[in-house]
Amino acid sequence: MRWPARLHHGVRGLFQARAVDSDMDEELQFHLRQLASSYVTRGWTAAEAERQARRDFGGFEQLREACRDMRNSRPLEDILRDLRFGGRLLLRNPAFTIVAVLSLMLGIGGTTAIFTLLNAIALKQLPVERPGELYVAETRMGDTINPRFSFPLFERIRNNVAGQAEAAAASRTALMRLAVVRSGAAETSDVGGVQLVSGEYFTVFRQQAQIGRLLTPQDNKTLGGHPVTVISDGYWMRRFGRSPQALGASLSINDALFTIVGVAAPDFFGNSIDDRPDAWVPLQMQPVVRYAQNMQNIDGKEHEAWPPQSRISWLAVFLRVPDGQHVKPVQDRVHAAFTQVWGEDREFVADADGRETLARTQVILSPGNQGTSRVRGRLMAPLLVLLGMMVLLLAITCANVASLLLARGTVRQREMAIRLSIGAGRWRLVRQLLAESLLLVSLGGLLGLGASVWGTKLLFNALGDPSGSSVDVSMDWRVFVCSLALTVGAGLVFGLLPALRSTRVPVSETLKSQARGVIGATSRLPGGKLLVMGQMALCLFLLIIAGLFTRSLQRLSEAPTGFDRDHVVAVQFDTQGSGYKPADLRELHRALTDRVAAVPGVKSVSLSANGPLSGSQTSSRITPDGYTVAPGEVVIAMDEAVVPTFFDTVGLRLVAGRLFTPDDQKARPAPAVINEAAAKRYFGSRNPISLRIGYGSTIDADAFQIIGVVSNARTRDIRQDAIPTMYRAAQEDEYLEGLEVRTTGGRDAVATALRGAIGEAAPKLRIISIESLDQRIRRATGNERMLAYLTSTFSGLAVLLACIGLYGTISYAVARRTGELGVRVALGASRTDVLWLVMREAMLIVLVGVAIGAPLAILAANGMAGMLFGVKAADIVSHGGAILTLGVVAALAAYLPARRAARVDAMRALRAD
Amino acid sequence: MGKPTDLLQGTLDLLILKTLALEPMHGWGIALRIQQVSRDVLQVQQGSLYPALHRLEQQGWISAEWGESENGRRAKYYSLTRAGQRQLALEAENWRRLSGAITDLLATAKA
Repeated sequence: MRWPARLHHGVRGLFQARAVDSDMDEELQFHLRQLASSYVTRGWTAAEAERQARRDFGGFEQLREACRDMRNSRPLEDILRDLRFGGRLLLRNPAFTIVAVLSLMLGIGGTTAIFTLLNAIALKQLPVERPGELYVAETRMGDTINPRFSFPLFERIRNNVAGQAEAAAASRTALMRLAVVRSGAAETSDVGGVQLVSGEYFTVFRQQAQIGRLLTPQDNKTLGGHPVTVISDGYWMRRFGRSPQALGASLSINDALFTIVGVAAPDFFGNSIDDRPDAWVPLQMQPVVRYAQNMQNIDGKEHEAWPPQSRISWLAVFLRVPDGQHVKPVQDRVHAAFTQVWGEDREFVADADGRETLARTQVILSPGNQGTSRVRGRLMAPLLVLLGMMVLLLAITCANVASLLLARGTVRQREMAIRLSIGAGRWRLVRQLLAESLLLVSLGGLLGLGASVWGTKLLFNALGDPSGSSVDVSMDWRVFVCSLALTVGAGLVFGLLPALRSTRVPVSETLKSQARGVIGATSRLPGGKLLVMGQMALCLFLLIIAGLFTRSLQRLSEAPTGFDRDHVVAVQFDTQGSGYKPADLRELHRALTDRVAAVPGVKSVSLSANGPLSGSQTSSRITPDGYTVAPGEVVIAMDEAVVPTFFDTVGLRLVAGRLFTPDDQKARPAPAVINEAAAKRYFGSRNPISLRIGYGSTIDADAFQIIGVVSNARTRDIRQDAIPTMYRAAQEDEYLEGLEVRTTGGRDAVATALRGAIGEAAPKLRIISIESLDQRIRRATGNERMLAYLTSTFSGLAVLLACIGLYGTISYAVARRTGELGVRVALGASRTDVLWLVMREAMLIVLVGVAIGAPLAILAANGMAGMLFGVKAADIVSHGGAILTLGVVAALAAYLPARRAARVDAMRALRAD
Repeated sequence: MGKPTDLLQGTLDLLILKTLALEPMHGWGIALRIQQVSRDVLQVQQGSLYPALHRLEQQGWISAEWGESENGRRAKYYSLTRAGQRQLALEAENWRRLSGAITDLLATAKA
């Protein structure tokens, strides 16, 4: 009985609030009339009775409010009413509303977009059972981290941890030629990702086959003996339309036939978030699919099968340690396996260096719940910086909206005073003002969430990283929570302060006072001024950081690379993966060189084992003649095999001696050319020409003889000075996977022609990339570029927003002080005096902002030193430029209202009061 | 008007329910009746009466409908619901206990 009645009243209150209200009015009116007639019956006149009745009755409005408060539906009813009212007000000020909503959209959308990306690369967990149990093994020696292990070492690890943890091994995902073979004939092949895994892989990740079966330890017994593959859900759909006939079908992987035995689960993409395979094969099939990448070789035989060799490390090792079990004992056992396997290598431990390496190396298990990633380490820091800057921008936006609301709140002071005096509670008014902010911010937040979808894509393009494109950036609950928190936070931040301030009204004073220009009235808005000061500080902070990143990028672009970045186009091949045997190489290299040299616009052609800035390099331990090795020092040089034309093509200068000639290929002792860095480091003031350099720790008959010294070039990392490098003459049967071309004309045209020429010379040869050295540099400096551009954009927006805030605050102050200024003018103040009076106030705000912002920026920049290049945290140019920019723009923003103040007409200003 | 006696919280509810137990009545009538029956000792201000009526209606103890008053005006008549009768019994009992206790206390204090 009670509940239905309550419900009925609640529903009626909510939907027929007006009808309920008019019922109530009629009821109260009836009472009033009865009261009046009771006086009439006592002999009063009708008018007197009416007056007395009203006096008795008291505040009619308060009573109405008190009755309304008794309704169940009251809170909801109020919110709806507030929202309607707020909406009407916002519509009445479309310019304010649009600016506020758009800037909120930008702030919330941008922050959400960056968070989405961070979430995708650093927060999401692998979609497997209990991902928290997964660990990745890596070895550490000093600062060098190596996540790769040999197959014999993996087997030892697996056996050592048995009973405590499960272990699996997997290669990187390599691009290979894939073709489905139907009724004997291969369909057109395409390039797909293939990952080599141990038999335990799918078990460790707790995977079930969608159809068929997954790989097991039985599939990984003998070298080259298991031509079976499991394909991904994506590949199954693309190539087989999810037909079960895929089972048992033949798949050609780099020309070797495999049988498809199963399809992985739809959501399983392997262990890496940005390196997703289309097919998995047993790792014993390495020589068959010619997997040859991402390997660490310590005097192993690179061109023989890898799985049996303990000196070739090429596998990531994953461990699953059951929940609640300690990781440390497992880690110790992995470390023990590491020491055992290398310790059994007689030759390795015979060497003092080998023993020391072994003693200093630690094996660490780090959490693997998020899977591995190629981009995570590189993008985390820049994304965190961007997120921080975006949050500051959002704060500036909020401050802006707050000061606009605050200014408007003061304009509405009389309205508030009237409403308070006729019976509205303060809390009721605060709620109403909050509803307005809530409307604004929800609109901004909703639009922002939509914009962030697009912003995430934009951001990805800005990163310019193709390997990032397979990261799953779909939104999940974290993104929604982040977006919601931002929205609510922003709404409260900019809504509450103005709401509280503008409802704290001394009622009678406000209603009595008609004065607009009370002297000293500017101090009435300290909240507004503080907000603008804060904005200025944040703004300067952003400007300085943006300046630092821009200067970094500039320094980086001007860095002496040592080679001719504008006229060299470089090509990278996958010669080994394309199936070329060492015996084929002589013919292949000649065909390539001849064909490419004939392309119009090509001045010279060269081949090299790796190529400059290709991301692939070989380092070798060397012993230079007469060099005293410091204790613990490992003497290393970059080791590059090149053809004689390499130096001229790339633009390296001969400093001493001579360059290679074609005859040098077979000359003994083998000739070598070193760079200036190597000459300086290992030979000092001695003339290195005709001195010897040996591989490893001895100088024997196979050692090289130095014939020349060439200029330095930053061939490995554009950020670092050239490292000691030794160039040697490429042998006939050596894989040369880099090709360099010196061009005279447009790079793009040459690139297209190159592709054609290479295709004719070697149709089988897979091209990994064709790009100019300039493009390689740009790609290598993608992070710096993105940081410089995005932070500059952010700080530009921040300046714009903050100056709008300053303009508003000063305009408002001027409007309030019209009377005072009028008095000053009447007493003989000149226009300039008035102008300065106002400008001084504005500049004080900016100065306080600078005094707070600059030290903060230095602090922050010190923390980001690793991301800066050639620029100090306290860089004069960045700081000076930022202060100047802010000063000029702020002066302009303040000048407009100041000029208005200077034009105040004394008579009119005083009469207005 | 004479100085009104402040009513204990909840007492007003009891008075309203009791008044309505006799017959359905409008707000004015309720106030008048309480004043008359208590011989002007209890005076109900409209500021407390109407919120109380609305609250009781919300609770489902009284219900309201529009009717015609003695002098032919449209007035809102409240009547006791069955839940209201139960509530009245409960509150009356509470009141008797409370006032009995106070009376006893005063008697002991005097002795």
